Amino acid sequence: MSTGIEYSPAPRRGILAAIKDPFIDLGSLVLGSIETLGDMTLFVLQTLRWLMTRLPSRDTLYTNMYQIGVLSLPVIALTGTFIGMVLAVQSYSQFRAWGLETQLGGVINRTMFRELGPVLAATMLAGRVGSAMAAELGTMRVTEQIDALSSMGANPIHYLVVPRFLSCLLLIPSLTIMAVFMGVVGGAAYCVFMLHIDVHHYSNNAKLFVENWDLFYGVVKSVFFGATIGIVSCYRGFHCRPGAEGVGQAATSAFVQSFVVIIMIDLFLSILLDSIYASIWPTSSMLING
Amino acid sequence: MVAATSILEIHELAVRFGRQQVLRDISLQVPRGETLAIIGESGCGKTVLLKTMIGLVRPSQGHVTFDGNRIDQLSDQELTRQRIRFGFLFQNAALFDSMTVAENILFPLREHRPKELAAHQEEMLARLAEVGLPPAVLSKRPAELSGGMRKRVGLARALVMHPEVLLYDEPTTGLDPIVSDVINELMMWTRKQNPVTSIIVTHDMKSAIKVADRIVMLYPITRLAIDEPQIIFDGSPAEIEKSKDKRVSQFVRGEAGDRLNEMNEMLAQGQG
Repeated sequence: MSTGIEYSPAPRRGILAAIKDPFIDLGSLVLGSIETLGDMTLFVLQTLRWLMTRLPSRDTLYTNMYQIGVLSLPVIALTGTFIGMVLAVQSYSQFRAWGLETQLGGVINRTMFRELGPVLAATMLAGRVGSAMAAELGTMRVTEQIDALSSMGANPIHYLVVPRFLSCLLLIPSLTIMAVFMGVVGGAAYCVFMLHIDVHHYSNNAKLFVENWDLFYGVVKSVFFGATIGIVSCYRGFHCRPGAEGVGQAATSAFVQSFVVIIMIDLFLSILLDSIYASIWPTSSMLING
Repeated sequence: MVAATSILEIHELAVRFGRQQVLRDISLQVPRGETLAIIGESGCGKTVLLKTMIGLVRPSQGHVTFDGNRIDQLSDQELTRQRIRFGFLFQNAALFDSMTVAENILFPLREHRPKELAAHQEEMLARLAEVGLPPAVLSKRPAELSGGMRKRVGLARALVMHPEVLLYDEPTTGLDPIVSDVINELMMWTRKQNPVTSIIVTHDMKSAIKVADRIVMLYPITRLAIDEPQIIFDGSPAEIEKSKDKRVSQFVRGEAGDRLNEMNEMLAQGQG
């Protein structure tokens, strides 16, 4: 009986065909990337549309906020403290060589406020929450729970993505402030108690190099990082491939892609925010002092 | 004549995922109140066809009409309104892991009738009794239930909005023969109690013959010639048992036929 399927051994391939292969691979990679980007843009637009038209229920939102925000607090506080101390350890020998060890507070605090606080909080959130969200949504996709939601007339973007996105967006500023605060405390504690730097000079210099703008700078960055984590993780979960391997890949790629996008956004936002600062306060001593 | 009483009509439907064509030129009418079984071997596109009916899968060509409305042309709000008229029992019940049985059954009510909270409890208990489960299961999580119980909770959830069309995806797969028959009886009981149209996707012939008024058999596209129709049988349960089409009778009797030889040939050619 004919099966309708013809099987034939693979034909011998010439040199031209072999040369052609990398170009075909490159082409399909580029097309695939454009397709993913377009798909993700639509996903973002749908999320924003639902966010504008109908907010999620309080129960759903509070549950997600608890999972994303409250449970992340201890680990972010702990890592923030240690990062502040590590900064003190790494900078101390170089500053001491120039006799500037009392100025360590300025460096530690400015770095924590502008860079390490937001990036650390975002990295921890992407690792702890982003991967878990991608795995959870991926499992829901694989076990048809997302289809079940749709079949019951509930929009999965509204029900699953909006509360997670909103929780990341609203809570990452608080987590960033916590990371910054603990970093500042950790750095100061190490400098004062372990390196025996004078408290008075340390605190005076620390205040000198940090202003309200630095806090705003870190918080603005963190909002973009939170949005990135929410969208990338939910998108990866929604587009999870079948099986346990697919769920694992979704969790991994959620973290890796979030982190890459966060670092890229960090660069652009740093340039943008510095330009804004320079245009608002062109004669600021911070610009002159760096 | 048939079209006038049909609740669901499928017109020249084709579904393709990337390069893989799953469904081709499918046309079907489902009269109101009928119990239709769609049978076929694994991978022939039965579940995809079922999901296309409710708009979970977008057709590449053709369209599905539900009660005079083209599913692919509905706005999001209108599609939601139409979907409430369906109940869907998924293959593994697709209960929400993070919720209890009670929350699962109440989900559609809370979503669409949030102001009728008082009636929800009564409705939930009635549906639970209809599928033969005790109230003690209400506080349990889906992971604590057996396969048959999960299916019954899934059925209670599908019934809670009093749908006009019930879609069953492999309702008896993975269950022992006794629980399978319990599910068959429940499907028949549901139909007696509620004026529903039922569409059952299954490869369980015993279930199809027992429950259905009409059986449609799909054949995998990869095994068909280009001009052959994908629906290879459309008739009553009595007719399918007498079918002279070898492909149909082979499936009805559950015989491997030449399949093992074909698989060995494929393996040999792949290695060559």
